[in-house]
Amino acid sequence: MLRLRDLAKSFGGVKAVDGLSLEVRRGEVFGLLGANGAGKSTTINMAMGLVAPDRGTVELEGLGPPTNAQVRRHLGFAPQTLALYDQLSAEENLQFFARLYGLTDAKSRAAAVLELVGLAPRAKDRVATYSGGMQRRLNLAVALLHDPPLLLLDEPTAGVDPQSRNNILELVRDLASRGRTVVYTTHYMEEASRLCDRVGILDHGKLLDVGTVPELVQRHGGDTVVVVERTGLAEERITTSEPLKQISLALDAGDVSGVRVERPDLEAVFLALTGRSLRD
Amino acid sequence: MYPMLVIAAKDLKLLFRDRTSAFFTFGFPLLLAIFFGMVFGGSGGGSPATLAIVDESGGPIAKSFAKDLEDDELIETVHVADRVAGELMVRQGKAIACVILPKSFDAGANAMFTGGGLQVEALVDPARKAETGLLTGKLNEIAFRQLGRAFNDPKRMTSMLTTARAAIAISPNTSAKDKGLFRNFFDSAEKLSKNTTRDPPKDGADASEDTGIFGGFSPAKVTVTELKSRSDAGPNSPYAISFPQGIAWGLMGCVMSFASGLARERSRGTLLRLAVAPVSRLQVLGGKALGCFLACLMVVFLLVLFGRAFLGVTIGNPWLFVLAAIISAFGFSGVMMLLTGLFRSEGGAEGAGRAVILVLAMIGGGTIPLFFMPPFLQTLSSISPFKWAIFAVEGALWRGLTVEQLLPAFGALFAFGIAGLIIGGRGFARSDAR
Repeated sequence: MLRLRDLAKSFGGVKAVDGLSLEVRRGEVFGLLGANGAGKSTTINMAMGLVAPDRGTVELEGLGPPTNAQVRRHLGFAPQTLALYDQLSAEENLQFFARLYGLTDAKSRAAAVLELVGLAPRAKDRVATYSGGMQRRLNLAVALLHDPPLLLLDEPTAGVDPQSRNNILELVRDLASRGRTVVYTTHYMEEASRLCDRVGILDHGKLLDVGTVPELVQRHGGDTVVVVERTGLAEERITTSEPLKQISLALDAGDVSGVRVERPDLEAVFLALTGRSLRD
Repeated sequence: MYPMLVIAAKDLKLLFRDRTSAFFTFGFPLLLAIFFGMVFGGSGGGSPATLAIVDESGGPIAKSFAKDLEDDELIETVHVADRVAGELMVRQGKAIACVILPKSFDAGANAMFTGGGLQVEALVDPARKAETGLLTGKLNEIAFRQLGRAFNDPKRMTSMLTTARAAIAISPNTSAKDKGLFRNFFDSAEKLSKNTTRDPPKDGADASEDTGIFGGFSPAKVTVTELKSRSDAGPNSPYAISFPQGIAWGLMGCVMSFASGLARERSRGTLLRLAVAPVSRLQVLGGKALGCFLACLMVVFLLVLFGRAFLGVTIGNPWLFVLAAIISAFGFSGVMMLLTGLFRSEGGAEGAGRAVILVLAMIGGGTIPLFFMPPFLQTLSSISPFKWAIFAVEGALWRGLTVEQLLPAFGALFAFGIAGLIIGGRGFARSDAR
């Protein structure tokens, strides 16, 4: 659906993206996971045709590069910043962008999208009066207006409350189930694990690996850790590829007050690949 | 074209939603135009200057002098008890000057032929030098009027000549021959004064007006003719001068609103969103320029129509006015584009952009009329689009200029528009290059 080949972009001598190649498959939710400054937004902006790469190509399957305005009709974009006119109502914002996209049914389309993101009751209120979460949902709604097959969402949950985050994640899942392809950048492990069919780990402009979460964990997560707690003693951490066997052995030894299993996750994958925690 | 209209409509909606911007684009210029209209003369054709008069003499000639001042329509007089009170009025700015007619005033008048003359003192406000010059001229004019009256009044003439004869008779510096000549002159003057017959006052004329052989004597006869507007609507209101200035401020408001609005779109990401929409960069820029153009047109028309409806502003040549408005709006849309190309951040557009536009407005006659400025500033003002816009609008409203005569202004505004669109567009493209 979307093919990025050997993309590179530098800003003032700093390599923002360095030789990035990936292919996003039709109908999948693809997550780009990385810390702030890893190159996620630059990648998305190049994919949108907003930033010209120093090297490499971007192509939408069967359509060509997104620098062509007609190709961009097939893309929906929710930038990281809240790109909205806060003195206009949600309805007015959506109708404005709908008209720019040449939609003849701008009003009904705006109403439908507002319904989809759960903002219909506040349609006529100025965006300036919205909470951060509501503004995020509206930001996403603009990207959905022209019903594009490919959505590029740049940190769509940044700075929102848990409830709004859940709403957005459910909405993205729903869109994927309706056949939309989604490229989703985030620095939240949980979001990537919960939402994405495949995840690419990005660090210092380089794509370190791509795969499903289980694949990544299997490749880079390391062994499971069984933690055994005994009364009056320090807990024992046993790294193993056979956790059930280790639990059984611990119980046989007796005097066990508790057993905990720590399975490797994306956090461990990220740590293994980048040498640092995503929270650093 | 449709995307440009959509963007322009959105920008106009945003302009009106932002009350501060809307006020500084439409409300403030209107208030300014009304204020300056009142300063330039208000609806009554000019308020008289206030003058404090202290009559220490109390004599008939002093009274006549004071009466002439009171009767002058350009002067409003206030009699005060003494020079301390008069000086206080001037210091407090309540009067432009205090005119003192000293105790020796009448005596001086009677000694006209022997080196005396009307002694008048004036305490003036140092901040009002121009009015002081006018006051000096006015006092001289009234003094000459007293002289004419004296010549027409045989009794006063006799009294003055008696004083003169006595003075000449004892003058040590006058030769006997000259004394004889003076005596002959005084005798002839007295005879002329007594024997001159006067015409009766003409119908409707004030009998107290100076007539006779010396009546209304003045060293120069100045005929003043106010140029009439070439429009059929009659004389111009002072607001016809202040409203073009108000328009300049309105255009400034438009330019600043749109320039900072575009910078805001850049910093808040909405410009990014416009860039990903299936519209060309040219259409985005065109939409922005069109919005500014329409807002500028609104400013020009709203202000002039308000002035016409409520303040007597006349539109001498409506078609030329429409042309002037369109070309001015185009020129200022270019200025807006230039600013957005030069100052890309919101702070830059708000700060540096406003400073640039304010300077251009000041040297272009947006704050004070060009004719008050020194010659070098008047020449420098040609670099300001405000000068040309004000001139174009004035030309169509009340100067009675033709299209040919306005071509330099139209050409300059058109050049500002084209240059701004090209330079600003390039700057914009460079900063937002894909």
